[in-house]
Amino acid sequence: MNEFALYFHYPFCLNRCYYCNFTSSVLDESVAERYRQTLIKELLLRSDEPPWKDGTIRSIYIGGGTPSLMPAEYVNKLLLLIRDCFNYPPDIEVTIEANPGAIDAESLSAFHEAGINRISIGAQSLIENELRQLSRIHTSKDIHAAVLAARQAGIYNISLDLMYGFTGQSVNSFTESLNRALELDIKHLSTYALSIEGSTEKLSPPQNSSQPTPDPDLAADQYDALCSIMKKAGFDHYELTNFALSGFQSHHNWTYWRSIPYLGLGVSAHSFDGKNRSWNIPIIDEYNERLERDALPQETVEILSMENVQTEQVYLGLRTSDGLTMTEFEHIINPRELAEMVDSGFLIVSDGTILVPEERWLLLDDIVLKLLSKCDKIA
Amino acid sequence: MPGSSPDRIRNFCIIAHIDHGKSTLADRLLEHTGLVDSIGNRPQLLDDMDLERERGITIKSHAVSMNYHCSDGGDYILNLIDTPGHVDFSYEVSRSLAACEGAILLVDASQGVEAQTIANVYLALEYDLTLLPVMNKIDLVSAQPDICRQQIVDLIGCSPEEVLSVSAKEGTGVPEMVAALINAIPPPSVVKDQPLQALIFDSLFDNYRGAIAYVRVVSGILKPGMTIFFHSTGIRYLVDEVGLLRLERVKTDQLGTGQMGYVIPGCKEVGETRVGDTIGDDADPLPDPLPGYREPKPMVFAGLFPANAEDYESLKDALARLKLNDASLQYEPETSGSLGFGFRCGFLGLLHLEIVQERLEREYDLNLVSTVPNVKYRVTDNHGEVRFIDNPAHLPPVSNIKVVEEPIIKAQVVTPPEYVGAIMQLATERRGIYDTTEYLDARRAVLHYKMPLSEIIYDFYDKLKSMSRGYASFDYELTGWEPTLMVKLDILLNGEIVDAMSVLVNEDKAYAWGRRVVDKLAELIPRQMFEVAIQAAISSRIIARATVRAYRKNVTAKCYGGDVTRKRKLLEKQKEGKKRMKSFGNVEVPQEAFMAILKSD
Ligand SMILES: Nc1nc2c(ncn2[C@@H]2O[C@H](COP(=O)(O)OP(=O)(O)OP(=O)(O)O)[C@@H](O)[C@H]2O)c(=O)[nH]1
Ligand code: SF4
Ligand SMILES: [Mg+2]
Repeated sequence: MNEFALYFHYPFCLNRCYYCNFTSSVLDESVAERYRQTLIKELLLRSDEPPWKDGTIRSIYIGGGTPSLMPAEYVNKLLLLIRDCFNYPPDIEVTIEANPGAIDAESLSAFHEAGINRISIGAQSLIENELRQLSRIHTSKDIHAAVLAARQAGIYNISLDLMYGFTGQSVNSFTESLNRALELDIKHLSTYALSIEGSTEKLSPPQNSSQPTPDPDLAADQYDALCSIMKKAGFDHYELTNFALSGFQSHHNWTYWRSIPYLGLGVSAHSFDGKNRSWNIPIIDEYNERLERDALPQETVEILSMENVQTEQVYLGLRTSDGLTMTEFEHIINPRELAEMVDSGFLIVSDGTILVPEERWLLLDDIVLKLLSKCDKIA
Repeated sequence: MPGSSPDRIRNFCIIAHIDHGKSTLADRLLEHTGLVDSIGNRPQLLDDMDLERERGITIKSHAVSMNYHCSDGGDYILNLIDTPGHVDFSYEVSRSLAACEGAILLVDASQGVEAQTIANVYLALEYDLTLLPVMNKIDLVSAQPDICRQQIVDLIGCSPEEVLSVSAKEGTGVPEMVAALINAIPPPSVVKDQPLQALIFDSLFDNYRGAIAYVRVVSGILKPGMTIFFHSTGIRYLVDEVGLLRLERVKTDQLGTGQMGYVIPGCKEVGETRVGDTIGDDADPLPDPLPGYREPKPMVFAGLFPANAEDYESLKDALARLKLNDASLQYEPETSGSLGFGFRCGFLGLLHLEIVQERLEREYDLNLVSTVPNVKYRVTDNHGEVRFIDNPAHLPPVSNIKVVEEPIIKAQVVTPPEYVGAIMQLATERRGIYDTTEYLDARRAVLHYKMPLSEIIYDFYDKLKSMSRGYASFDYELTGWEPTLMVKLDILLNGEIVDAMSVLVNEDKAYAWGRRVVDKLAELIPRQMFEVAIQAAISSRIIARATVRAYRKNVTAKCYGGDVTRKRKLLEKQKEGKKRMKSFGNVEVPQEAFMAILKSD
């Protein structure tokens, strides 16, 4: 294996957000200390294993949870170790996620010195009372401070996360958030419509009625505003939920959408070796115990069939502005549905590429289902 | 074999209104005769189809042969047929009656005589059967044995002492009932030295053995190796195997006169074994067949189509095999503009339709769409030519029609007097014409009505049950045809007629029908990428409409490394879900919609 992306998962936060379905728990420093050791152990074990052994890293991403809670020396140690384990070219993208309520100027400088060159800040909103409704631990002032401090520390490649499509919000309040974010001179923006699904549902559906819930029709209106504001600001809408100024698209995220191999380390992290996907156990204690026994913390290896891989590639490819190369997927696409959707503007075919136009991206799931539906012989 | 001489054989069935406890009584007989040690936690053991167990009703008649050592010292063979009680399956009852000399008439002592009690008594009398009247559920505090006994006496003209009491649940009275049964029900009559004649009263298709016929030997002996022929076709077969119907089939050397059992004739063609047919001995043929059954008359008609067009041939095979096991099913090929190739099928009622569809889907692993069911109409055109129309698509242009006649039934509703008012109102709404009322006793009125069949096939029974808190029951028979003013009502989805949803409906009811179907569809059709306009139209006049708004967002927010597998699995699941959808133009309709629009809420 030559190239792959490297992901670390740090599953601790100061506070659990009710809508969150990442693997994370409230920070307990003694558990975190133990975890930081086992995470390094996993790195060492994996780096000796095919197919990762002697590979070249394309990008590094430290996500969570709230990895900005990691001690700076630890980040430094981690990045040094990677240099020992793999081939680590200079100038690759190295991102850390930060919570504006759990970051300071000092650690930002230290992160930068350690090799971090990109920061993804979980802002969610720049409207004070929305932050409160979402029970975020930070204020919009904290967001400003974090952005400035990052720049001061030498990290210029700054991305913000914003949330939309929840009750209590409006099109106006969202555009206000967006404009304030743009004023911060960010290079990259990720936007997520609030969804409460998967494990979150099992944990705790919003208990008190003031907690925002998803509003898909509002989300659709906000999405239209989002697209036009970002276009005016000169951002490229390069993936359904991501915008970037020229030259600032996230290298790391492209590995996922282009089915390039990635090695995920840490609790619940997913890896893809180019053929199969595997993931680690999602429970911190078990993860720790396994590694302390020198065992790999893998939970499942999923053997992907050709059809699996292609389904994923169609879905992922259509999430990006690159779209799909027609010739590669012709055999699994339903030609009648394709023609119908091109006619009605849900798809564009040009230069041998299939694309979902920006204004239809919110219906991607249906578009993909139609596209991959079996051909009906009687029609 | 104990008691294999005909005078030691008793052939009988259990008949009753639905839920009066026939299958539970059969359990007790299985235990009492020792065929089964204990029913344990599988009550209604003879209801062996998954569908029967899930719904808690008997759908098929089930025959079982038991050996019994009687306290009088004799050994007997008791051949029992448990029958279904629901009105849609009365054909199953008549098939069973023809194979028996007697019937246990079971009446739930807490409910008394109900509509199918009466209907089944008349059926049994047609076949000259000896009736053994038995009251069931006497363990219930709500049982009213005195009233019930009197109702039975009035119905069949027996003496009060002849009415036995049992609790099928607890087993009380069952030994006495068996003793009475052996005395009261005559053994099969024997014409000495008459050659073989056997009546096929049921059949099924076994994947390994082919067609298997369940028979009652009326005369002669049936054994392996002999050459037999079927009267209806004249085709000859070598008998492979004969045996008894225990809980499983048990191979024997022969089936003697008076016996019930099975024959495996080694039929290659599925359609050759026909319920009601007579088997004869090729070496010694008798010229005339036994009296068969009246062909069952289908009441409702609907198209059944494979959801995937490739399954047409499988559906064809499945229907042929199911027909062996359900002689009342009728079908012929049909083509629909919206659903492709399928079959127009005739059913005895809506429950029958539902059961057939479910059996085809489960037992033959098919995925089916059913069109909206209709009754059959008699259409006379301007030239005086008469045609029967069971498919709205075949209705000639209105300008060519002189008269349309619809099937009319005689309905009898049995009810406690306090519900008479409500029931009369319901009957009037359903275009019923009142005939007479008679009283079985102070607690039981029987209302007689003349009604169009089309008014009762959908939800009449449910309505009747709910307005009488379950106490009223109902039975009907076809009597003839009467002119009606009828229109064809079309349903359009985004401007296109979906022929599978068209119905023929009485002019006065068209508006309400259209409104109801449109609203129901608006509920059943999920939001999709496009707005869906639903319209009901007569000719080209729109009489009702509704819209399903397009949704604007259906996408997973983020999709990074950890989300890909979950997302793909979700897509695969949604893809499976789509298989239960049928597309019309760009509109996707859940398959269940066709049946669901008929159900009242
Ligand atoms: N209390 C009581 N309940 C009984 C008795 N016999 C039957 N039941 C109950 O009545 C219900 C109907 O019994 P079944 O034996 O299924 O009735 P059935 O006549 O075979 O019904 P169909 O075949 O659907 O017409 C079940 O819930 C039985 O448990 C009885 O003697 N006493
Ligand atoms: S801070 Fe982020 S990772 Fe932590 S609970 Fe909130 S949303 Fe989830
Ligand atoms: Mg039963």
